[in-house]
Amino acid sequence: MSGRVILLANPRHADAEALEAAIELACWQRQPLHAVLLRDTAALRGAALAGSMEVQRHGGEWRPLREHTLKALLQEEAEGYQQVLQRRAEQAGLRVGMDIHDWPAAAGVNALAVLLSALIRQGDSLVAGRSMQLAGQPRAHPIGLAGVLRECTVERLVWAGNSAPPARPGGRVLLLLGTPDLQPQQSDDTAVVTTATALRRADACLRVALELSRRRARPLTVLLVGQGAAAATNADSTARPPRPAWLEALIGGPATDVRFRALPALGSDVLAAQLRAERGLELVVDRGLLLDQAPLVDMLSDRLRLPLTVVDCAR
Amino acid sequence: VTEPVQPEPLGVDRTYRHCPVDTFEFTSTAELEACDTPCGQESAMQALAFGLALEDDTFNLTLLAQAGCDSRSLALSVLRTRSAERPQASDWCYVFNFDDPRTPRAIELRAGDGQRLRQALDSFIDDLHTAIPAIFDSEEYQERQRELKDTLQEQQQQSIQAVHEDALAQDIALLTTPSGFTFAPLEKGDVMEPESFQRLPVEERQRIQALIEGFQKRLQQSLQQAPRLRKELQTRIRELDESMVSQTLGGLLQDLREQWQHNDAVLTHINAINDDLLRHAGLLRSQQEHEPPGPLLHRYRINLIVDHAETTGSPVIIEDLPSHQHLVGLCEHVVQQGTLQTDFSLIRPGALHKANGGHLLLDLRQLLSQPLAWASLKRALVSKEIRIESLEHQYGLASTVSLQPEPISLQVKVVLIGEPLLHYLLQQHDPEFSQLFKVDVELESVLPRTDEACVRYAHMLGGLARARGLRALERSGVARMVEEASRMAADQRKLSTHDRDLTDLLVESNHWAGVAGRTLITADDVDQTLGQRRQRTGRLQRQTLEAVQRGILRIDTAGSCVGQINGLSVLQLGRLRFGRPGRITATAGPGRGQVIDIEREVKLGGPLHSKGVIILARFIANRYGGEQPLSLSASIAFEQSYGGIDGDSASVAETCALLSAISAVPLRQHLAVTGSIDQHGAVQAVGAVNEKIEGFFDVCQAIGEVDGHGVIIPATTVEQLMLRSDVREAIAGGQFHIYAASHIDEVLTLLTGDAAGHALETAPPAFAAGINQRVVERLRLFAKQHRADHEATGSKASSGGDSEDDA
Repeated sequence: MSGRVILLANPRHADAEALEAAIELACWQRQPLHAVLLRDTAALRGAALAGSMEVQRHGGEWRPLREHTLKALLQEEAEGYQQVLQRRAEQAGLRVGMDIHDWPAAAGVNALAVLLSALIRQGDSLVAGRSMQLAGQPRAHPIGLAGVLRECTVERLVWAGNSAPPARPGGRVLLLLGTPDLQPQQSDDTAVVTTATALRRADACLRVALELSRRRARPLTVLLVGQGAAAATNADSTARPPRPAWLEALIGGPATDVRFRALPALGSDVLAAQLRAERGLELVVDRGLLLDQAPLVDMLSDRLRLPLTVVDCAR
Repeated sequence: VTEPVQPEPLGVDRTYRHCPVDTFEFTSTAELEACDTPCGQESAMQALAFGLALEDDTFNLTLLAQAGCDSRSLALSVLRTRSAERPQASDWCYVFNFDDPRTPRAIELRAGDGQRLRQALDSFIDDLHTAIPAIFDSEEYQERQRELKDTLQEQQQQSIQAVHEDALAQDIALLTTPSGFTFAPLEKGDVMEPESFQRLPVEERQRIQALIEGFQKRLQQSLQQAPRLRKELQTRIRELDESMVSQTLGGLLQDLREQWQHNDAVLTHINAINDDLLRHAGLLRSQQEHEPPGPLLHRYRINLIVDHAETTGSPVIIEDLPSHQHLVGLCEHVVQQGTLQTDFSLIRPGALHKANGGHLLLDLRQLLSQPLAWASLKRALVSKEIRIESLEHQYGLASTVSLQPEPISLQVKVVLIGEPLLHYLLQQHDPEFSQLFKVDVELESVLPRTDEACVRYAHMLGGLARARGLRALERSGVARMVEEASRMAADQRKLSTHDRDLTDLLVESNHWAGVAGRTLITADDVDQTLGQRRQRTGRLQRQTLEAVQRGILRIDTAGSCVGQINGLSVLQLGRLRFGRPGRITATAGPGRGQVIDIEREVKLGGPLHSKGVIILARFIANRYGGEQPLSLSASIAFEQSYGGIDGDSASVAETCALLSAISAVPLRQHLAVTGSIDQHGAVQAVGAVNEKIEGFFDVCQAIGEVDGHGVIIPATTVEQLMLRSDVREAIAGGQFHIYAASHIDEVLTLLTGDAAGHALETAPPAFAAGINQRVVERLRLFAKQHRADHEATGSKASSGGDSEDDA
C-alpha cells in the first residue's frame, strides 16, 4: 500500500493512545508514519507585548512572560514529543517523518480543513485523538472528533481519543453498519449499480472490522442499523435475528466468531445500550453513518470513549 | 549346728515348666475370640478408664510400661472406644485481625462449620472477583463518576470560560501557554501586534493593562479553586465508591450474616470484612482492570487449622515427634522479595490444637528429649490455653516479622506413655508434674501362669495374630508360646505380657510356618524362630566361644585350682543377650584387712559390684575373724574382662575364690557359680539364670567337656529356670548338672568336694573341718605374720625416729 499513516497531534496535549494507535496501524499496514504537530503560537504574539504576565495553570501564580522563554518552551514541547515519537517508532521498526505547523489561537475547523487538504494523499490513514479536543482550553475553537470527522476524508480514520476499556473476558470488536438497500427501486441498471455500491461499502467496513477482530483476537459483532434490520427484529433492539444472506456472503462463510445484531434506529441510547451489552472493546463505523449525527458523535467521543475506527466507504 | 549337706543336682523336670497341649480344648486360635482386655492388664485398664472418665483438667494420665509392652496400642484402643462416645470437638480457624494484623483472631466453630465457613467466604471472594469489576465497569458507576469529573471540569471550565468571555467582550484574548495562561489585547479579532500596542495612547495602554490585571486576578482565583475542587472530587468519588461497593456487598454479606447468625465471632468477622471493603473501595477501583487485589481479598479468607468435619466423636491424636512446634503450632514464613513474611494464613496447628476437646497421646521420652516441649505442654495445661510462640523469637534468634495469634482455649486429656523410671524422676524433680498428671496407670509386665490364664493367653495370641494378618496358632504353637512367655518373664509361674515381643515372635513364626507350607503356626515354627534368632544374632557369642576354644579367652573347665573360680556374667547388646563364663581369681596374704576389688580400683566396677565385694569382705571378717581384725591383704579380679561390670551376682563366686586363696584349698573348675551373698553367708537370688547356665553349657560344649559339668545357682532362682532343650537333654542324660544352693557352705562343699565344715560354738571362731577350718587357721597365720612384720617395721622406725600407724 502506498499511503502513509498521518498522526495529527498537539504536542502540548500529547496523548499516548493516539501515538500507540498510529504506530500499531503503521505496523499493520506496513506504511510509514508521518506526524503533524500543531504548535499553538498565539501566545507568542501576546508574550511580545510589554509587561505581559503568565498565570500558572497549577496554583494561579503570576510571573512575567518573555517571548524568548515562551518560544523556547514551545520548541521544547515539540522536541519532547518528537523524541518520544522517534523512540517508539524505532522500537516498532518504523520510518517516521514529522512536520510542525503553527496553529494560531484563532484557527478553527476551517484551518484544519485547509491543513488536511494540503496534507492528505491518496491511500493515507489519519490517527487523531484527545489533543484535538483541546481539553482544558477556553472553548473558542473546538475541533474534536466532530471537526476531524467532518474535514477528514481518508479511507480510515482512527480516533484514539480515549483509552480502551478493560480487556474484559468476552469483549468484542463492534462494527456499526448501515443496512444496504438491496431492493431495486427501478427495474433499470441504476438499481443494480446502487446495490453493488451499497454492498461494496458494507464490504469495506466489514473487512476493516474483520481485520481488527483477527488482530485483537476478539470476536466481532455486526450492529446493523436501518429499516432492513428493523424489519428483521420486530422492533426489538435486543433480538437476535438470523444473519442476513448478503452479510453471510460478505463474510464468506458461516464464521462462528461473527455475531449479528440489529438496531432499528441509530439513537445514542440504543447504540450505547447495545455497545454495553456486547461488551464492546473497539468500534468500527461507517463514516456515512456519523455525518450529521452530532449527538451520536458526542456520545462516542465524550460518553462511551471507545477507540474508534471510521471507515470512509464512499471513497 | 549341723554339717552342711552337699546339694543334689536338680532333676530335669525342675529346669523347665512345660505347657501341656491338652491344657487347650481348641485346635487353633482361629476358633477363639480376641480378648476384650489384654491379659493381665485388667487393673491397668480400670485405672485408665477411671482417669479418662474424670473430667477435671488436671487429671491427666501417665501410662507406665516396660519396653516390650505395646502400651500405645492398648491406650489407643481404650481412647478410641471412649472418644466414640464423646461429642465432636470444635473446629477452629484463624482470621485476619483488621484492628491489629499482628494478632490474628481465633474463632471457634461447631464441628463441620469450619469447612462451611471456608467455602462460604471463598465463594464470597469469588463473587467479589466478578462483582467488583462489575461495580466499577458498570455504566451506572462510570456515568456517575464521569458526572462528578465533568462537574469539576465544568466548574473549572466555566470559571475560565467566564473570564475568557468577559475578556473577549473587552477585546482581550485569553491565550494558553505550555504552563498556564496569558492575556493579550485583540485587534480585529487577532492578537494585537506589539508595535500597534505601543502606538496606543498611554491612557489606553494603561486601561488595557489594568483590565488584563483584573482578568489575571480573576483567573488566578479560578485556578486556585482547582485543588479544593480536586479534593472535593476525590471525596465524592470515594463516597461514590463506598456507596456502590456497599450496595453490591449488601446482598452478598447479608446472606452470610443470615447463614452465620448463630456464631457471634463469625458475624463480627463478616462485619469487619464489610468495613474493610468499604475502607478500601478506592483501592478496589484503582486496581488494574478493576480486578480486586489478591492480597486484599486474601485477608477475608479463613485459615481452618482444626477441621472435625470428618471426625467421629472426640479427637484422639498421637504426636510421634512432640517438639515445641508440633505441640503448640507455628507461624510459617514465605520469602517475599528477599525477606521472610508471614500472615494468619501461615499459622499451622500443633497437636494440642488437633486434640483440643479430646485426647492427646505422647511418648514421655520423646517429649522430654525435645527442647522446651515439656515446658510448653505444661504451660498450655496450666493456662488452659494454646499460645503459638516461636522458639526463634523467644531466644531472639530471628528478627523477621512474626505474629502473636490469639490464644485458643484448651480442654484436653493428655496421656503420657513412658517408662516407670522417667515417671518417678519427673515426680521427684518437677512439682508441676504431679499436679497435672494425677492418674498413674502401670501396665503389668507379667501375669500368673495358671491354666485359666493360659487359655486367656491363647485368646490374646490369637487376637495378636489376627490383628497382624498372621496365621492362626495351632494349640502346640500356643503351648510353645506360653513356655517362651515364661522364659521371657524369667519365671516358671509367670507369663510375660510384653505383647510387642510376643507379636515379633509371632510374625517370625508365621514366616517359618509359611516356609514350611503350614496353614497354622506350630510349636516347631516357634522353635525354628528362636533357633534362627540365635543364629542371626549369635555372632558375638560364637566369637566368644571360638576364643574359648582357642584358649585366647581362658576358661578352665577341668581340674582344680586355688583362688580361681568360674563366675557367670550376662552380656546384653541390643536384643542379644547371652551368658558368658569368666574366671574370677583371688589372691590373699598377710595384711591390714584390705580386700582390693581390682575392678573398682580401675573404675570398671559399678556400685552394686563394689557393694557385693564389701559385703563378702565383711562376711569373711565376721565369720572367720570373729572379734579380731583381719590381718589380710586380698584382691579379687575378673580375668580378661575389659568392660564395665556391675551387679552382685558374682559375689558368691568371689567369696569362694577368696576363701580358696586364703585357705589354699583348690576349687573344682568344672562347676560355675552365680548368686549373691549376704553378710551371713546366705546365697541370694540373681537374674538371668537361664542365660548364665546356657552360657556355661555352650562353653563346655564348645570345649567338648559337658560331661560332669554344672552350674551352682541360688536355690531361690530354681523357679526362674526355663532352660533350652539341648541343656535339658544334657541334664536328663546326667551329663550336665544344676545345683541349687542356699548357703555358702553348700557351694564350698560342691566346689571343694569335701564338707566345708560346720562352725563350732567357740570364740574365736572355729570349724569342725574342711575349707572353713582351713580359712580360720590361715587367717591366724596371716595375723601372726602381720604382727611380726609390724613389730619389725616398728622397731626399725623407732630406731630411725619415724613411726607407722597400726591399721
